[in-house]
Amino acid sequence: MNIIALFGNPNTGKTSLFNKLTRSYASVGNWSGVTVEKKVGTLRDKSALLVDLPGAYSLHPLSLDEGVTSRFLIDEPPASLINIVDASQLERNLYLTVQLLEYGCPMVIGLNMIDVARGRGILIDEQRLSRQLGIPVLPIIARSGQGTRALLQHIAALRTDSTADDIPFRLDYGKVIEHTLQQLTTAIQSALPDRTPQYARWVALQLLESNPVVEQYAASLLTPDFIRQQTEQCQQQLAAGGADITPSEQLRRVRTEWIARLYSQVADHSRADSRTLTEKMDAVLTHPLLGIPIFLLMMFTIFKLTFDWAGNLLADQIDALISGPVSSGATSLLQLAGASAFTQGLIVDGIIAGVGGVLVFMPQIAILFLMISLVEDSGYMARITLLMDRMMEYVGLNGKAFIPFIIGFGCNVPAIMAARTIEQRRERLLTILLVPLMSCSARLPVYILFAGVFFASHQAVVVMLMYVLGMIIALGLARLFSHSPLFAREKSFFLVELPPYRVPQPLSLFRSTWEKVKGFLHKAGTIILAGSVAIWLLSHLGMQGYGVDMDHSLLAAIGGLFAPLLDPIGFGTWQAVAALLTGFMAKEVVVSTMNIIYHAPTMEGLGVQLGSAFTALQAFSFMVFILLYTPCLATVSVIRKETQSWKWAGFSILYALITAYIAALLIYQLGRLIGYS
Amino acid sequence: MYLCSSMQLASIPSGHSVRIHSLAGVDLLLRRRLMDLGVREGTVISITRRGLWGGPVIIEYKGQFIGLRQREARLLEVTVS
Repeated sequence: MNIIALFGNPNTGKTSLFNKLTRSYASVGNWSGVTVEKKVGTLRDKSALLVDLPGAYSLHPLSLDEGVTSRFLIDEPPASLINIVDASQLERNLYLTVQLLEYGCPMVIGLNMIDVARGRGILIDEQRLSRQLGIPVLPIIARSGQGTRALLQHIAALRTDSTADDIPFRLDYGKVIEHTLQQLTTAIQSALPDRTPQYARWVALQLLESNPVVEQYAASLLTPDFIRQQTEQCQQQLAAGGADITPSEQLRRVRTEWIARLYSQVADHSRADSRTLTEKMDAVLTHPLLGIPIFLLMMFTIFKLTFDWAGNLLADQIDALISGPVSSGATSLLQLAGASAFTQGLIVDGIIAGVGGVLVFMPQIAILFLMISLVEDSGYMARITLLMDRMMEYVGLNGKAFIPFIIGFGCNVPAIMAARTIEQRRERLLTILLVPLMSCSARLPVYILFAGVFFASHQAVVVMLMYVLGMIIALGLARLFSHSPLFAREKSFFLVELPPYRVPQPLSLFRSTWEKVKGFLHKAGTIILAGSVAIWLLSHLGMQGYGVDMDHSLLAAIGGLFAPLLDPIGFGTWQAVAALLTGFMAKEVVVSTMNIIYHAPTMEGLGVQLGSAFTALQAFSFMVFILLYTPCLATVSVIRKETQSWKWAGFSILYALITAYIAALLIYQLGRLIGYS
Repeated sequence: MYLCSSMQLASIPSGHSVRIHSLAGVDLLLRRRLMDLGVREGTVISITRRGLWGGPVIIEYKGQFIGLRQREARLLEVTVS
């Protein structure tokens, strides 16, 4: 099948268009760097494959996610390109367009956000733009899908009529540069006889720009000496001609001048509005004094909503359903079918108790996901990075690290991948290692369960305390790590684009929340299910075979082995150890284990059981330990993948275990000193 | 006409427009990012927010808002016209 690729600056709506054209759902948001890797989908009419790429301002990458775009053009030459440009920032967007035109692949421009541009009083003459660039330009609104049908038709037409008679796009970079380009192009062409001269020229241009991805590629085509000789010669000749600039600066100058001329012909700013709604909102939301208090207040409201106001009410309903009709229905069905006590036990006390005990918390998790989607979609995310940068800089991180942190409240795995947009290697690595301290939604069931039993009157506050504690420890460790020799000091900068605010679309919010909830349900049906079965079996199997007393089961034996280690932190029981060990698979499994071991038919019953097994202080220490103790299996493997190192993956487990132990030890021992038990 | 002299962005009060005179003092990586966003020598930017305790500033350029650390903003040489 033909491949069509989506290119464009960050946050211009590529993924929105991708979702509209392919029936798939990839997550979208209103900040630069939502998409960090390429995604492939099939067009609705199944005529071609569409590839969504991370946004880039130019083909010369500064961060890991941007490197994907140049590599794609080299490794997987697409049949055609869609270049999405933001109509309200057209001049800046055209820089990438010029580089793509130089690449010389059939291309259509989707002029997106024409509604935003119009709202700001900017009018673009798309027909004139199309004539000047020599390619179709189609106005679209990717979020609503307006104009996307016409865009598709034009792409189909591109693929049918051959572009043989088209004149390749070419800018004149001046005598010196053109001479070097000629030399390089000829050499590249002879190494790649079956590629077009246009492509060879593009490689030469990217070489002169010192694009690292292309330099690496060209090393297989030309000798490094030849490339160095050509670029140095070019540099000398430029200097001799009185121009005190590097070849790459000259390329940029020619392009920006060309674009400025073009832009003045196609854009009309005469009606531009001076003060937009975004500015008025930012005057309050990024206010030097009020900004941070407003952010904290919003976070607190989210917690109140998730736990006190809506979540718990809904969760009680599900609990009543699972512990009542589902459980007793299954029991009577199994009895009717004449199932053995073993089967009945496995299904009712193992699977329904284990998986059901976690599903109960779906409402709170769904509301939390919805809130995160709201922050992602509105444009507030970029403002949070701005508000937090001062503090983050103090601990050796970057304001941008706050984006992975917030995504991490949902799930740590995508959060660690989101760190790819951080330009500095050291800050990116630190962010990756600290994301697991952000309390993800999988840890939520544990908090709600324990806080509900031991701190019922202050549930929202105690749960929020866990999140705040995770954040404080992450920042403290960042400060510690960044001053240690483990992390070499590196020059750092912070630059964030603040996109215009927009009202999130209900449908889009629903979809992104549903996608995340679906992930949770999928986990319930796989890892949590498997974990529940394993725990039930282990807790009923002993040296003497099946049906032993739980205290003599294999699970008790394994747990008992480590239990003495946990005595100083307040929960040296085999049950707690068993829950922690299984929690490594997925943190929700901690709750499944509790449900199975304490064998309670309802949440209330489990509460009574837990109440006799833990004191309030021990429960609090346990919650903190769960917050910190080790990233789950999926998170460790993504850390290994993103850092390309087993060493850092191992480090993430080790430092977390040590931190958790110290924190729980302090809490338990200090708590006892001041009179709690 | 000699009223306009080269000065640092950090010393400009918010709400004012200035022309960028030189980016030479800016770290290469950051200079490239700024140029990616269209900010280069000769462009007119305005300062819309100044952070407390050395927090980031927001500069505006053609309707586009960019957050930048004060330490780095200090490296932009600008002229008031």
